[in-house]
Amino acid sequence: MQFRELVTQIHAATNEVENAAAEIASGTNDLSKRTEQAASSLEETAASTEQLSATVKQNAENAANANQLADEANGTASRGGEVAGRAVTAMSGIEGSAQKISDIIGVIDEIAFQTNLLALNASVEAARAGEAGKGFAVVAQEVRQLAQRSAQAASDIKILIQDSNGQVKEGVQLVNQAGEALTEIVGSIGKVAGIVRDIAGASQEQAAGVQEINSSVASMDQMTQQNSALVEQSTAAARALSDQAGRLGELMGFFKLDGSGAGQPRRPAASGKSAGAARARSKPAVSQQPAMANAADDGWNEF
Amino acid sequence: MIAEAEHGDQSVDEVWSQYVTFAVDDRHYGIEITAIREIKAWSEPTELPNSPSAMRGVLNLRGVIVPIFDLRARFGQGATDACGAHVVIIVALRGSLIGVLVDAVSDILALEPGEVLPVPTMDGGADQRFLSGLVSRDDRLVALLKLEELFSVEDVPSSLSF
Repeated sequence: MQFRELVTQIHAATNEVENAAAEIASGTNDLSKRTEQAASSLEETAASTEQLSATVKQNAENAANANQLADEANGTASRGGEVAGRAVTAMSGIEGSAQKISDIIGVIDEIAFQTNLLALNASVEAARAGEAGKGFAVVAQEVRQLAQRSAQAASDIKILIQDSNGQVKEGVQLVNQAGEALTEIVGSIGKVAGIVRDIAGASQEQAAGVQEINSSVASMDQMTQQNSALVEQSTAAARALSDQAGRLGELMGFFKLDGSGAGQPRRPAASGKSAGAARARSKPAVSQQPAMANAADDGWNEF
Repeated sequence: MIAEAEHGDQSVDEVWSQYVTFAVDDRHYGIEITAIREIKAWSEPTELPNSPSAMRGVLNLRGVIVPIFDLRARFGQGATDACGAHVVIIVALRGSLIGVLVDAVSDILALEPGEVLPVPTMDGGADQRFLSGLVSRDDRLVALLKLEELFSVEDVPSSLSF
């Protein structure tokens, strides 16, 4: 009666082991699939971060180029400012020369004026001399015309110089405005360069961050591969466990429950050994089977 | 001008009379050249007390004291703001010299008697007695002045006349 109960219990336990092994097998199957999915996701992530890394690097390079260009533009604008300053100096030089020319023109004008008066006086004297002064009057007239032409030329030149002075003043004003604009440009370019430098720094940091993500993803990938291998092993172990449980069931079929009970000492030894074997089996999948067989043999031997 | 002068060669004194023309503002006047003794640039004369309003002062002209009159002021147009570019015409008038301040001397005109147009008579026009005639030359009208009317005896300080 005791033996019968023992066999029944062993039967039940064997069934439970079989069911559990089947559950483990299906579970590891699921796990395997998910691990595979995780691996492929990680692969995609790795590819994406690779692209991101390339983009960020490109960004950083562009920012560095922009920074350099801004520096060059800054230099060019500064030189433009210097040129504008020199132009102003040159123009004030022109203004000074024009002033000197004006002074000389003034002297010429004064001489023409005096000459004109002298010629007029000569004409007056000639007229008062009557017939005797006639030839002299002609000369005086000629001198007066020359004086008038000189005066006219002097006044023309004076007008030209005044125009030129006006234009030079305007030019100085324009060049000054250009200089101011260039100074503003220099300031703006400085700001742009600062912003671009910030962008370059941020890109550098982004690149470092992406690098870290990359290495994390790589280690995750490695772990997932290890997990995958482990899951494969688990699957094989569960299958082996299931097989062994089935075989145990078959072997247990040897005992007819209606017949006389025997083998009471066999059971605890067998169950203890098989449980230990199953526990041991979960680690190395394939190598366990001969050990399992040995354990069973041992059981049988003992029996 | 030269051509005219050469043309006048034949008998200057009979046919031609010469006038020095000058400007005050944009008006042109003429004085007979034989009345003129000298034309000189403006220099500030010495002011005399109690002189007529048109008289700017006196100049020492090589030892002769010459009263200087402002023609613009004489015409009642206010005093001339004279500078070095203004001209004083020294003329002989009733045996003494006076200076006439004008803006600028323009030209010397040689005129035939027929060229001188009469001054139109105006009602109570006092100014016409100062003019001996009008001449049209180069699109401008030149008024020929009668200096002896313009600067009468009472205008010229008696102490200066001789």
